[in-house]
Amino acid sequence: MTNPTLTLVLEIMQIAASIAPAAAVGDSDAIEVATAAQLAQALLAIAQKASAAYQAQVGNPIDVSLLHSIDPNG
Amino acid sequence: MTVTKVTLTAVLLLLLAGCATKTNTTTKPPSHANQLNAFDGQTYDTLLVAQSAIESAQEQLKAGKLPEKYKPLIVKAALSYNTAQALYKTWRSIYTGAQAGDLATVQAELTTNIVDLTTQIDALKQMVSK
Repeated sequence: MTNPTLTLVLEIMQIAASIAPAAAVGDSDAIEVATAAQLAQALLAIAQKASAAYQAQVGNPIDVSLLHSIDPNG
Repeated sequence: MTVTKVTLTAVLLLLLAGCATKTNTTTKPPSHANQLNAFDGQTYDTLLVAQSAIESAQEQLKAGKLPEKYKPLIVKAALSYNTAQALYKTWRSIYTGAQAGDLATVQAELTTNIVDLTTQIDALKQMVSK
């Protein structure tokens, strides 16, 4: 895949995967490591969802109805 | 803390993922059979990915898996996304003749909106790294 959007998503996944070990190196506190691991998991989930959205529409016709406003406060 | 910075950088990259395709003109994205032109296809891909990433980030925030401090960033990204997707739909309507308007102006606004989002996020990155 050469699409820059997907490339960035993959880069994010790599960063996320590196977070937990990076935390363990300089900080042995178990809570910190657990927090970092949780953050990494959250980032992976976001990246995976974005990647899936991209993969699902590759080669398919544009369907503008799939794009909708987002409630900023979610 | 290094981990916090790395994490925020990752979140910022994620939210920027949809914007990055605008500045890369050397990589050809996959085409859609019904796209109006390359800009149309690339913008559609960009918005779809950004929408998914922002909504997913909101879910992670709600679930308590992302710290609350990221909320302002996600809110701003959502607002910028909303503007961009509305402009995109307007651009398409003008392009197809369904709506009157200045195509070049709307396209410029759409591009500016994405640049603004990038600048906004860069400023936040600098704020966090202090």
